Amino acid sequence: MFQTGYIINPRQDYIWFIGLPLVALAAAIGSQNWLPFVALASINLWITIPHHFATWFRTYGLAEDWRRFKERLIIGPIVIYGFVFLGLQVAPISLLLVVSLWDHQHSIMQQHGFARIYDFKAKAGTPQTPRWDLALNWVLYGNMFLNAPLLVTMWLRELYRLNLVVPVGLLQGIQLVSWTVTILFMVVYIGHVIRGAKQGYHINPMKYLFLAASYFLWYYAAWHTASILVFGIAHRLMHGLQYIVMVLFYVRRKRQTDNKERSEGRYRKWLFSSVLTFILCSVIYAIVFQLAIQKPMNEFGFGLFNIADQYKAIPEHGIEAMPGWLSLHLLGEALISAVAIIHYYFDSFIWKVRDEHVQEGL
Amino acid sequence: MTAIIAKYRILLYALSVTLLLGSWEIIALRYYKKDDSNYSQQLENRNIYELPQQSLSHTLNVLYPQFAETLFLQGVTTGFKNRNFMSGCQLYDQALDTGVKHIEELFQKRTICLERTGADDQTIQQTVDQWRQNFPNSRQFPYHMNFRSFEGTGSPELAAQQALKSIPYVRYDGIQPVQLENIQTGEVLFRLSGQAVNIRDIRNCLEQVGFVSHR
Repeated sequence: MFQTGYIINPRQDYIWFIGLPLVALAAAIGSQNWLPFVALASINLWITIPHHFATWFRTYGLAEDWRRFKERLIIGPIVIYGFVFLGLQVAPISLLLVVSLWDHQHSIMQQHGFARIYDFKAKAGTPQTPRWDLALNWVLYGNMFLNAPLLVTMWLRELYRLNLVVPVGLLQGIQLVSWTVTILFMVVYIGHVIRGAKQGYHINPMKYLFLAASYFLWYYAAWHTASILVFGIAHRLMHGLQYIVMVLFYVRRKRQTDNKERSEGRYRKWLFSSVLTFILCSVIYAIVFQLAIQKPMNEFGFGLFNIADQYKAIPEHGIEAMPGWLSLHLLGEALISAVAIIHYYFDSFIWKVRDEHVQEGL
Repeated sequence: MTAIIAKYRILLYALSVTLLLGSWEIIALRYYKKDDSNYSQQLENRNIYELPQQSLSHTLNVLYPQFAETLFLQGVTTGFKNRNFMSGCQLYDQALDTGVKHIEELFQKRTICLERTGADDQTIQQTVDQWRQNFPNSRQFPYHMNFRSFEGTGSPELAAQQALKSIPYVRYDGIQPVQLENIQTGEVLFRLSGQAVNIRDIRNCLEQVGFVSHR
């Protein structure tokens, strides 16, 4: 009846897909107790922004993906940037709502996608199971979205901003219906699993462990805390890290299985084969992103240390003491000075006319 | 054509929803002043008077009465309805007692309550520290420093502006009169930045140019 299949291997799966949600939740609760709210921005910089980089890494880096989706990879960003700029000018609340709704849908689909991989690897489930699983994810997440105070407060506020007033009686009715549907669906879903097992279809216990861990994180964070900090950190840690792990595993496996013929990267081999290089590139990407949106670098520090606070006024350079929001100026000044010094240093040993290797180039 | 639509269907769904909501936003909110980026407050104010049973604060109060957001919004609404900011202070305290950290305005409003009740600098500093630790890079909400009177020379605006120039983490924002019970007071408004902020230093600076403190 049971057939276990893993996304990567038993050890990696227990770390990233079963254990991570629990660790992420513990880290988030710890952050709520010991870290300031700016920690959420730090998690964004260390995890969420790099997980976007992982998407660019796969789509624009893998030769096969580039060939298959080239048109959409070019047109998509142009259209999206176009409507985001237009939306910000004309209907900013609607744009925010759409981004937020798409984020929720994206979260559902990622967990559903991993659940599908579990069944694929274990050759488990009936032919109808993909649709049942999709419905399960929508029902469970939808119920949380419609009932958890943290989430209800957010979307209700946006609806009010749009002057879409929802009478409290109607809301209570929706919430009651949501719980009823969820409970009934769970019963019917269990019936589907049992029926499938009786017909000889396998069940992959890892899939259900994974879904249980994911929904435990979401439900606990959404119901048991009043803080966006907890939900935001727990969710972003789980979502971002699982995505990054999946991309790295996928790219590596593709290169192994097709002998690099179709999936050889458009980047050099070292970027695809070294996790360390990937992490380094992700961090650089996050720094560039932070610079581009003109946010201070101290957001990398979880509120525990502030780059700008360490620097008092430098009157010799005409720099005043730096408040946090001005730390970019300091970084700019440091870049100019440091780059210049590096240039002086390198030139001090690469240009020696007495050096035979240099003479070859003269 | 069908193939193109099928290929870009996800993008088309997103565009359609944005278009639908956006049209509603443009039509439904055209009577509200958009330039002050404050129409949620305008809508809430309208609902409090015209549709009190449908205001956001009422709805949240029925659904989740002990939730931090609810308490905060109840505080804003109470102050607004009574035309007395101070009547919301107890609710702000309750909201902060839940341990919430993500509502920056709550920290700011608590400092206003403390300033206007004449709390000691140490108590105020604790709240300011919490505020700045959680939002070190924000200048969104001004600090309101309350004074009994101004006995300096020249205009108080100019005096405050000049005095605050010497403190790097402070940006002067203005002066406003405030009626507290039967006493006319005034407030110097300024924005803070960074984590290391010392309220006593700022008060000293303003006292030196003629502002008379309650303390």
